[in-house]
Amino acid sequence: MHCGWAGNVTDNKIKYWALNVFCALVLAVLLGAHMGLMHLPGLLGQINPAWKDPLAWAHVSERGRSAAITGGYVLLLGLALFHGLYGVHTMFTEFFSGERAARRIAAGCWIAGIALFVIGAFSSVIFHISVPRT
Amino acid sequence: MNDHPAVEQRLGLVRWLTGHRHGIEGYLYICHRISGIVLLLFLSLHVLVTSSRLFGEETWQTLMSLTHSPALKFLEYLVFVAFAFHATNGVRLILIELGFAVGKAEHPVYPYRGSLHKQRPLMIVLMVVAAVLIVLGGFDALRLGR
Amino acid sequence: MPRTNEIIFSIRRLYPAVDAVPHTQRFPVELHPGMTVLEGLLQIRESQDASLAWRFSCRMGVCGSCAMIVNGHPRLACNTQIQDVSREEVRLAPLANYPVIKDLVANLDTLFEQHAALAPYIARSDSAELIAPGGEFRQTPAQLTRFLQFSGCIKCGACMAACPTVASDTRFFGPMPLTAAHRYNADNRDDGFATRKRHMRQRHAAEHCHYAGECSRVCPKGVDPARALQLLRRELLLDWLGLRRRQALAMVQPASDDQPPSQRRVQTPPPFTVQR
Ligand code: HEM
Ligand code: SF4
Ligand code: FES
Repeated sequence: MHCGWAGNVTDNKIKYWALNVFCALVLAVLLGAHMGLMHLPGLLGQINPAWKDPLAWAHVSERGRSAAITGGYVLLLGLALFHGLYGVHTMFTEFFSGERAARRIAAGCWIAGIALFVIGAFSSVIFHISVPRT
Repeated sequence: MNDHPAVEQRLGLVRWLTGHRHGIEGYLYICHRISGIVLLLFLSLHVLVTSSRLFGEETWQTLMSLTHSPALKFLEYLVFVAFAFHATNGVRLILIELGFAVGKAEHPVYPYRGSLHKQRPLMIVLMVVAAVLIVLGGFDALRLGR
Repeated sequence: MPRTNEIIFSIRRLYPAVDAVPHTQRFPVELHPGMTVLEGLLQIRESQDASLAWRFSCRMGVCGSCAMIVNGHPRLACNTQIQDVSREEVRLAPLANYPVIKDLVANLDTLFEQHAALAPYIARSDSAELIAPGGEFRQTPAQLTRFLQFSGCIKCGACMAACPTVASDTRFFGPMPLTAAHRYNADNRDDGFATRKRHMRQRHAAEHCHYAGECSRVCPKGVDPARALQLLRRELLLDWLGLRRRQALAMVQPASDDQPPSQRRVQTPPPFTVQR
């Protein structure tokens, strides 16, 4: 029988949870805009013709030239990775108990998160710097 | 303390999904988890695919032409569905988990009506919003699949 | 004469000292209108099989010992009329998520360990007051309402058998113990929040509730543990942000005998206590 409650548990996990909820709130706004622009182009294109084909190279590079959008992408990526991996971490710590499992789950989440963040943020920033300006 | 021979019967991982008589909130909880995992898997793939724009217009065009196949369009739409559900249900969960949408403690008078009833109007409104978004996204996916 | 007929009780039986796997045994039970599942069990024990094991005590939904899985739902056997469950078959199993001791008796040791770890009593920091009470603490009706609903819990464990997180997380405190913790946190006489905090805000406690709502659906006493957990989490968040405020607590001096009655402070009882 596990006695997780019998030990002297002092960590405050509520602050990570609060951070996660905060991320979700910001995501609802940022990701809402992102998903709207990317998945409802037919609809939003009625409002602004520039939104008709967001995946065309011209629009992709135009967005890449904007420092604000590039910054927004990096922020969005960080928030989504923290939020998503926090969720997966929660699920795994529910399904697998024990100190060793907990350490492995945390390590896996950190590695995945850092790797994806580095790839995504690095490519966004380099793209912003290197994309041809007209 | 456990001096009786006893047989463990925790429902565990598999029956976590099947072992319960879920009410509507129970199903939403399962859907929220599944949609969250779908979104995270998509995000991982998405980061790898979009970082290809570093290699210039040609690579980008090749990759984008791949996503024009009906099957991938459909999968992309499923991600949108997962997002629409996860985001709207997530807003409900945030309001609940911060203690806003569950109401204050009330006197337990039979027939009992508790926090589940308090949050249900919010749930219905948000699920209608999700349904509208999903339908709009479907129209858009079909129009663009021309 | 009430019409009587027969119903089948399919009971999951297991005696771990003897059996390796549980088996289901079927008993015909003579049904009377208004008969409860507990009465059916008593009938079986009296007339068919005296070795059938289950817990009960009060027979009226007060003691919390008779919770079991009735046709898939965690319920109190004494509080469940057979006719409300089925016309053909009543399927009984011990409370899920806990080890079986025998037949319908689940081992709830961990439940009560978790409950005890959360200091489920009014904890005060002023020990001098405890030794020499200076008066009675006054509680307004509104202050009483903040915890009254959660104090109705009879520790039956039905919510623990229904909770999907308890099903998968072996360390999760679960709805009943955390509701008990909130019942005392919300009491204006209590000082124990800091003591309970070290458990309440760890990973396998408040944070692992995802509001599936199953606990509140099955609770036979209208306690609404799902609500208590969200309110508890809010308190923990406010506490971390340094915004948690203690409720006002007024102490009433006892009337002394040598005061003339006209000078004694008269307390009006809150409207829902017994009026003399
Ligand atoms: C659009 C805004 C979003 C909102 C408002 C939102 C909201 C939430 C909330 C409130 C939770 C906690 C649920 C609980 O306590 O059970 C959650 C869980 C989760 N979210 Fe999100 N989310 C959003 C976007 C995303 C994205 C983009 C991902 C993927 C990267 C994601 C992945 C997850 C995962 C994996 C969980 C864990 C589910 C669980 O433990 O049951 N979410 N989300
Ligand atoms: S909260 Fe309700 S279901 Fe849970 S132990 Fe208490 S009385 Fe039973
Ligand atoms: S016998 Fe006491 S609650 Fe059922």
